[in-house]
Amino acid sequence: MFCGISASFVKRNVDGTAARVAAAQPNSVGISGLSKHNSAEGNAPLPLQQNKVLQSSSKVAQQSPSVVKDVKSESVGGGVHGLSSKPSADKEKIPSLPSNKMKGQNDKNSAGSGGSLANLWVRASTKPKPSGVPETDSDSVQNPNVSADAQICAREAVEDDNSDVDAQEVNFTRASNGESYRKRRVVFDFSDEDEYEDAVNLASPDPPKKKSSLDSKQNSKSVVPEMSNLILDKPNKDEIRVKEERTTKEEETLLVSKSTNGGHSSSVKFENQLPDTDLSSKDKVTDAARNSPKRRKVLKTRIDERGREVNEVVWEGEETEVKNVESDMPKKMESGTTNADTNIVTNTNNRPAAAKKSPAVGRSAPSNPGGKAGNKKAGNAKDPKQGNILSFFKRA
Amino acid sequence: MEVDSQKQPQRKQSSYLSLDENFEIQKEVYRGQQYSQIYFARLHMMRTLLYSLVPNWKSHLPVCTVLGLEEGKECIIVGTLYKHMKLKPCILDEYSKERSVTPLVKPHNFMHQDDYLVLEDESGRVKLGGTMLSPSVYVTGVVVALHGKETTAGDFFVEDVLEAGLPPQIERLLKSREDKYVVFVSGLSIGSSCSNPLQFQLLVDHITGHLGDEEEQGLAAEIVRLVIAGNSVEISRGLLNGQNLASKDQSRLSEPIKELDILLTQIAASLPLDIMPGSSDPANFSLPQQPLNRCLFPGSATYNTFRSCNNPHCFELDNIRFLGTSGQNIDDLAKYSEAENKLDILERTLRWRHLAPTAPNTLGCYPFTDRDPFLIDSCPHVYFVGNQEKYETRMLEGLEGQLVRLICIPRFCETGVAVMLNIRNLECHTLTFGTQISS
Repeated sequence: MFCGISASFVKRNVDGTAARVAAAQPNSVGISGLSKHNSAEGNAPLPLQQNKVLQSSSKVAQQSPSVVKDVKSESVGGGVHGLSSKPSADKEKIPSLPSNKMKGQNDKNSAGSGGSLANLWVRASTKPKPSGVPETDSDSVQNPNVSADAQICAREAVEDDNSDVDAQEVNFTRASNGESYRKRRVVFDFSDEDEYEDAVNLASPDPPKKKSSLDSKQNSKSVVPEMSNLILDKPNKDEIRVKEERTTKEEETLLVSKSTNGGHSSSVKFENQLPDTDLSSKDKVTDAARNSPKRRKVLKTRIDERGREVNEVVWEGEETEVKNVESDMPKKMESGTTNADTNIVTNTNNRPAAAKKSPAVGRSAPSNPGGKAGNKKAGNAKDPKQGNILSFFKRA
Repeated sequence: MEVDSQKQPQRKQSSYLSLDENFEIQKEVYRGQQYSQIYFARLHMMRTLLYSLVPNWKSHLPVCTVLGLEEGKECIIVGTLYKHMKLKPCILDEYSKERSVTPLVKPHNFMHQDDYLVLEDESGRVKLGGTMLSPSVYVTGVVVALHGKETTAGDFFVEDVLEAGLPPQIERLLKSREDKYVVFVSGLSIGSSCSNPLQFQLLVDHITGHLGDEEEQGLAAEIVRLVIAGNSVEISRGLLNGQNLASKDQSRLSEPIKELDILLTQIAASLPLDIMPGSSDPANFSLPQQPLNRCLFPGSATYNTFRSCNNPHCFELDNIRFLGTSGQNIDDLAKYSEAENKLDILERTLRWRHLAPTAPNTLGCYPFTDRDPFLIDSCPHVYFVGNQEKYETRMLEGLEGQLVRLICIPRFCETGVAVMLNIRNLECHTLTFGTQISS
């Protein structure tokens, strides 16, 4: 059976231009909901028609359901994918069909098309952000016509994110190892800061920059070379930067505790554990720290002008760090200054302007638990940096 | 050999107008606010409305606030209902040291005979007594006007209730006398063990006109739209536990969506379709759910007939207003109230003029600050809910001549049933697809 309904209003967006889904070849068999024959705009709907033919013919020759489905899905995919390619008039298009998928259509399929719809997905997951760089690596492996495909790929990647061209059989392993794979970065537009001054940034933070590293193994590796550079620097700079690193580190972990525990963290725990975990993971930092004059951390609690309980961890002699562990949990956290030497920690407000000395703190800190969770099992309540919420409910 | 194009029926068309703007959250800014503002917006809107209705109801009685109640004085108060439920799950119970062995959350219903209602406005709250207002019918979040008086015990004894009632309806202008059909389907659950791909393929083939003789195809050509009301995919829970996925698992994750896209492409090539997100779809959790991202549908999204919609979804076809959800609102109401069937719950939400009164109490929703988008200000002609156990339908008549077709759309993966609605006369029937392969 062929589809007996024509729908002239159906349009398909090919490369940014809406094209009527029309029948171009006079000798095509069967119409599958496409417009009338005498449409002048023929924009490569052929594969769709043909795949419908395949579909209906496979239906007629009744086989087991799974086979029918496979053929159909492939052919539909192929047809659709064929539609996504350039019009048949475009000579540059090279039909690079995976031959096992399009067996019955070679004679009719002059408008070159790539693989099936499934490949469209494979491509979508492995291709990098449209940056205009042709994927010559992947193309050259399977497609002898590298240059033309690469051009088309690059052009279409830029123009149309939806469709895909000449999707190759790319493995998923390539996705993780390949150079062409780039991590997606979220770009935040902070241009209208005024309007959204008090808006809570709900987005995931950027991964921490090298400078403010976390104590996870992968990061320590990147830190080490950095630190070795620092060691070679003048001692003064070294110290200051190390201090900055350390305070940054501690602020991050404090933020971690803050954001995850909702204010019920036991700050005393931090005092004891922070220096330990800090020093253990980064040897260079330890060395650098030992080079600096010995300081001791002391916890002081006081009430600030807003009535919030503020726990300060004070280094004897030098800077103070302020941990705003509030007992009443106001919804908006604001930065409170104590003295000029203080590193200010802002809690939930992760705006870059908020933290003075370590701009990356706010954004990097909340990713700490995420990073930890990735390294440890999910749901590990024994993370030393965070207080356990169950500690709030004392055991009988 | 060409198919004779003259005999080919043309697919019918309807004018479409999307009214989902109210359910968009792109312009909303989250400033750390909680839910008091959405409740206030709801109370404010509904109270204004109820104040305008009270004179027609009991004009002789004074209207006062909760704090202004005087013992024994008969009056009318307007506020938001709060139902205190003994069995309502509380997050703190999970951490209580006295947890018992029985599971904390009962899946079916949290009703208890000791539940009671409280009326609350900005000034205060008062416990409601009397038998007029049944706690089994009402839920937290409904705004009503109550006639009664304060008792010595400090309760408010309810003598009568005024609900907002069905909103006004724009008269249905019949554009043409011809039959045009809208097909509703929900709960495809592609990727789940119970979904049968053949079944949905049959549906697709039928509505795209690939099945049957000329007469059948002629009937199929009268279908002007397909509405998919949520839960189109089901992704295996085992893959979503937060662990890093192996590359072979990554493909498993996207298989259901790929399959759905292939099927939707077939549909989109033939007729307009609306797809709404549901509770199991890759969309946000809280209502209003935002449209499924077009990048999930690389094949079908290129068609101008493809439309990804919000949940709840409101639109007009040939000036007939449709309003519906993927089921979360009605399912939540069913957990916290009692009704004979789901159609009764549907009807209640219309009479309360609120799609989801239990939001944000027990149903996740976005903390709007200046409005409550779930308020129904214009009565729809077709009011549907997806992902229900079985197909049910009823024609509801309002006091001002409103006519609403209520539809419960069953889960397709379990029933193989889709619903066909004729927009000429708002009549409904089902399309049932079975695939029994005889051995």
